Amino acid sequence: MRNYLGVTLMVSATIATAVASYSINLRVAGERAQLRKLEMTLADEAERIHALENERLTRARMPAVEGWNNQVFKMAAPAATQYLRSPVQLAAFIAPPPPPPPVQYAVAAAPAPAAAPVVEVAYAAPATAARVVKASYRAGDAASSTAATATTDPGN
Amino acid sequence: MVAVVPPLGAGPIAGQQQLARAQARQRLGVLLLMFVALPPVLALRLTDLAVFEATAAAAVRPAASAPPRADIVDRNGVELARTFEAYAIAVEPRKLASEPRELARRIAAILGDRSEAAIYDELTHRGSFRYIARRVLPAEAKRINDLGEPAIELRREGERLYPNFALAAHLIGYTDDRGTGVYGVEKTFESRLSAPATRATPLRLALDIRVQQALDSELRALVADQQAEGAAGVVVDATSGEVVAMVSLPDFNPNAPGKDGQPAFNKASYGRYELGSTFKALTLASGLDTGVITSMSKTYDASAPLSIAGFRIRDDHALNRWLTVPEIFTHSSNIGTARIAAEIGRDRQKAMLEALGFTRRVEIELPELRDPQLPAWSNWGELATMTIAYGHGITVTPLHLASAYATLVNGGIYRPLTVLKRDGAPPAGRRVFSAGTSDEMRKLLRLTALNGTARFADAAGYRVGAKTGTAEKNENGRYIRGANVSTLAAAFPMDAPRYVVVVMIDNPRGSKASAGFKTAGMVVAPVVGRLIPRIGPLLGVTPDASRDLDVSSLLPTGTKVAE
Repeated sequence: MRNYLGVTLMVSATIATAVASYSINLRVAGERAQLRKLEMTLADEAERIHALENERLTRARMPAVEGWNNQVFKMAAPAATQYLRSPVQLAAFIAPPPPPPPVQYAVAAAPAPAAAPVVEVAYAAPATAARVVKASYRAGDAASSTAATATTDPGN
Repeated sequence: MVAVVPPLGAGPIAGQQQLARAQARQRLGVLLLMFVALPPVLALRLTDLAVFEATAAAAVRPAASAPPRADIVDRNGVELARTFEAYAIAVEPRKLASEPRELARRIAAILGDRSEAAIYDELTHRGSFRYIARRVLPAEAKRINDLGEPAIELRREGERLYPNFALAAHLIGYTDDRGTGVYGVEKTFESRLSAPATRATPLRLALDIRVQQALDSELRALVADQQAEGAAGVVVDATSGEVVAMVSLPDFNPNAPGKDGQPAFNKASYGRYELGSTFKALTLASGLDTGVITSMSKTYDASAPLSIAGFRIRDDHALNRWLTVPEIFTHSSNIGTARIAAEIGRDRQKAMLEALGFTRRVEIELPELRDPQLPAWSNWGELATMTIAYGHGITVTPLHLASAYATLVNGGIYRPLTVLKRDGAPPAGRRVFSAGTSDEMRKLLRLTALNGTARFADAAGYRVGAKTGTAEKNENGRYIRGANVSTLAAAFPMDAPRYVVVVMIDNPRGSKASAGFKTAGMVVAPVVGRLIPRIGPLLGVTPDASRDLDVSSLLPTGTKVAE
């Protein structure tokens, strides 16, 4: 009986080891197969990239690029004056401050514009003297006067 | 076998028995030990094989990872030639199963560029194997395969693709249908490009494809405008001798070589021309170097044409007076140059030409090279010395001239040209002119671009120095009246020369743009004046209007350079 137990134990231990080893073997083989597949994919992709690169290089070849530039973008090589060598040169490009506005003198009777449209002017009279004058004039209408003027008399 | 058992008790025999038994036990013990020791040894070896000597599965690359031929790239790594997998469509006419006319029609519909009749001829050919088409794209090949004709065979072939088509075709070259280089760099570096050990790394040229494009488009426009027979142009690094661009027109499409009918002819490296007055720079440099020209203000008699050996040397822009050295150069006086050459003498002239490489092929890695033509030594009299001084009676390739000008402006050191990118310091080279001579020549060249014949080449800010040369075209030893070869050799920036540009146009007819002129100053100089602002910034030369070479020492006191 004792003998049998020993034998059984040995056999089961052997089987267990064999099964464990085999499963490891299987897993390794599985991984390998996957790796190979991945490599095949990589090689295929590399070939496709190569083919696409060929197409890109051919389409974007230098004569074609220049043709595009000549017809569409029309860019030219920068002239010597367009290169800046110092910050001072760059600062020279800043627009100078605008000159003070010229003094404006009032004109007593300005000449009317040649073809000014009819303008309707409504004056809101100050509160003190609520007198609204509705004046309508046409330029050059009044032959005698240089300019038609509408005056209001707000009371001062 | 009969065992004889000796009787017991016999003294000497008993001793033998004991000995035999001991021996047997010993053998048994050794055998047992071997049984015990062998498995560990085997186990060790197995571990060794499986673990240490094993090649990892990942290390075994799938097929076609190394290209069958190395790529060619420019100095910045842009691909100029690469290999792609194309299909060849072949047929074994004897095995044909379907009706050939119908099959030809269907194949012609897929391929497009081959006629139905031509395909029909191949299908019904009496041979056993015929190509119908090569360099067929995979998609088209698949459609032909889908026709299901058993006699048609698809073959995968590594084909060379030149993405830039005709651009730099003369330099890069092409391969034949077996993939062997037969022209240009493809031929020179055949073993480097195809050897398994080296083909994985691309071959890097000195060429800059952007500069090449600029030169190509300017020359193409010039040839079209002038209705010229062709043109050649090179851009060379003055210090390292690298050829940055090289154009020869007419050119060809290397993807389909030989289809346009003309044989390829590289005008820059194989074409020989009389390059005319551009040689005056070399004569003057030689004069300065040998001490013949003692001072820039030394004058030479150019008041009348020079008669020698029944030949008259005259000036195109005759001033009919005595000229100083800068005047001889800027007005391109043949008489003055001839007088200087006569003082130099033929021995020193020959030595100078030899030192500059004018007596042999250009040192460059191209197969299409040609020997210059010089007069025989017995025939090299005073007249020959004088005409060679201004570039007549000597034919060289434009590359020769570019190499000589590089030597002239880089401080006087000759270095062989190269089509490959040079990394690190340039090679030692060989001194031809003294540094002082080189300095003086730079000033003279700059002066010619400022107010001499090469005015139109002076791109603002780039400090261009240039010399024009116009020679009557010589074909089979006879000058053709009215046909010119106009050349301009330029270098920039002259305060520290980096690049030499040589442009030559073969038989310009004159146009509106050149005001009807066929001379280099009117035809070629404006092209170089447009070209340099295009290529300068690409090559790292920035224009600067605030810097220039001082040429005042060449001018008579009190005069100024014309603006």
